[in-house]
Amino acid sequence: MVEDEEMKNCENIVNLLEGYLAGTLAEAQRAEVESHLAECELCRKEVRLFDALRQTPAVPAPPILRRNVMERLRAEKTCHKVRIFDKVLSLFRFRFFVWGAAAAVIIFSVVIGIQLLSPRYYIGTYIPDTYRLPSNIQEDMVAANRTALFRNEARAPELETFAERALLRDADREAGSALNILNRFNASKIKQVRKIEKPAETFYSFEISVEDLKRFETAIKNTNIRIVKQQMIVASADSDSDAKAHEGGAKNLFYQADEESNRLGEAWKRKDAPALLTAPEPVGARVAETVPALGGAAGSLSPQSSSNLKSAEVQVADERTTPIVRGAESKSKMIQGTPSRKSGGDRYYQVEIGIRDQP
Amino acid sequence: MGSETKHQTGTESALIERSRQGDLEAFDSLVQIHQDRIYNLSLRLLGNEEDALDLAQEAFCAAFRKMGSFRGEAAFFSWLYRITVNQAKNFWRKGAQRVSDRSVPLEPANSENEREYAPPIPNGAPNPRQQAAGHELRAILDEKMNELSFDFRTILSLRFMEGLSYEEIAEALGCNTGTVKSRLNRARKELRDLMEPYL
Repeated sequence: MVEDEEMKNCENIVNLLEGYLAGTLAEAQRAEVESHLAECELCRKEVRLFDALRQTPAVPAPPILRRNVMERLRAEKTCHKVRIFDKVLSLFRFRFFVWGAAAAVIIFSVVIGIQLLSPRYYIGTYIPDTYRLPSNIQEDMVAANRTALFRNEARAPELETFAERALLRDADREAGSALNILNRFNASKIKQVRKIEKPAETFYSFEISVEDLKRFETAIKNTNIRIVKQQMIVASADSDSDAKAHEGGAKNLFYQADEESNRLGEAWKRKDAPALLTAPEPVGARVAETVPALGGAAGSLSPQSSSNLKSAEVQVADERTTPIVRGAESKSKMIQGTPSRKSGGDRYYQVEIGIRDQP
Repeated sequence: MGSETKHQTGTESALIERSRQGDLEAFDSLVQIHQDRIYNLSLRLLGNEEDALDLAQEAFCAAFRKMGSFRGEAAFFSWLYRITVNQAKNFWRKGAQRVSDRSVPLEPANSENEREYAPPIPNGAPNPRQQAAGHELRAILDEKMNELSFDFRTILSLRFMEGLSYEEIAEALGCNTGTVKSRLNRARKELRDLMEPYL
C-alpha cells in the first residue's frame, strides 16, 4: 500500500515537473516538488530526462532550404502554366475528336435511316420494283402488301399506314423526274407525240445515240417509263434501195406497235392486280400468258413476219423484258434517215417512250 | 478571416492570404518565418541533416500547393507541422532502413553555407564540441530517441523540443488532446526505460 501511494505521488510530481523546470509553478507546488525530489531517486532521474529533452538545441535552417523551396515552386508554377496550356490543347483535340465522331455517327445514322425507311426494306418486307405500276394498280399493290404483312406476322396499323405513304411518295417522286432522265441522256428532238387518258400515259419521241440508249434503258428500269418503240437510223446508208424497201415496213411496224401498246395497256389494266402482284415471275411473262394473241418468245424482229411482229410487241409492252434493241440491230430493221445529230456513218435511234402519270 | 487573425499576426495573415492567391514572394516570407521550426522538427523526426533538408523542402512545397485548403482554424505553424509530420511518415515508410543506416550525422559543409550549425543527432560517441558543452546525456538521448517508434518520437519532439501545448499537438497530429496526453505519457515512460542506465 505504501509503495502504491509512493507511485501515485511520483506520478503527481512527474506531472508537475515540466512546470517546475519552466519555473511556472506556484510556490507551494514548487516546495512540494523539491521535498519529493530530495527523497525520490526515480523522480530525480525524471528531472534529468526532462532537462535533457528541453536542452536539445534548436539549429538554424540552412539557407539552401529556402532557396531550394522557392526555386522548386517557381519551376512548378511555370510547369503548371505549361500543363494548363497542354490541358486546354488536349481538351481542344479531344473535343475535335468527339465532334468528328459525333458527326460520323449522325451521318451514318441518317444514311442507314434513309435506307431502312425506304419502302423496299420497310420492316423487312421486300417490295419488288416490278410493282412500280400504273397508279390504279399501285393501290392494289399496297393492298396486297398489306395482306402480305398480315399474313407474315401482325404489324401495328400505324406502321402499315406509314409503309403505304412512303411507297406512294416514292412513286410521285419518280414520275416528276421522268423528263429529267431523258434530258440527261443527250436526247434530241424531244417532242410529245400523244397522250392517253386511261391509263394516263404521255408519249414522247426523241433521237438518241446507241451508247446513250443503252444507258437510258438501264436507267429507266423499274420506273414508270417504258420504251414503246425504237428504230435504228444509219446516217449514211450503205444501200439506199435496201433502206427504202424497208422504210414502209418499218413505219408499218411503228404504228402497229403503237396500237398494240395501247391495246395491251387496256388489257393490263383489266387484269386482276393482286393476282399479278403475288406472281413470283415477272409481270411481263404473266401478261404474255393472259393475252394469247401475243404468245411467243421474244425473238428477232422482222417487219415481214407477223409472228415476229407479235413477239416484238410483247417486248414493247413489257419494258422489263429484254429491250428490242437486239432485234433492231438486224440489218433488215435499218432505214435511212436524215442525220439530225451525227454524220459519217454513225448510228442512232429514234425512240418513243411512254411515261405513266402517277396519282 | 476572423479565425485567421485569432491565430496569426496581422502581417502573417496578410502573407497567408497573398500566398493563397499564389503569391510566391509572400510565401517566401512565410518560409523565412517558419523554416527554423520546420527544419528542426524534420531533423528530430528523421535524425539526419540530409533527409531533414529534403523533408523540410517537401513540406514547404506541399504547404504552398495546399494553401487553398488552409482555412485558419488552427495556427499556421500547427498546420505546417501537420504537413511536415505527414510528409515525414512517408519518408519514414520509404526509407526506414536507409534512415537508420544514416543515423550518424555528417558535418555540414561550412564553405557552402553561411551559418555554422552543430550536428544535432550524434551517435553513441559525442563529438568534441558537444563534450565541451557538457551535453553527453543529450547525445545519448538523441540516440535513444531514434530507437523509439515514429509516433512516440514525434510526440516527444513536439512537446519537449518544440514546446507545443497539448492543443497545438492535437492540431498538428490531427487527434484530440486526450490521445495526446496518453500517448505522451507512454512515450515518456518508454524513453525513461531506455535512458535509465544513463540518468
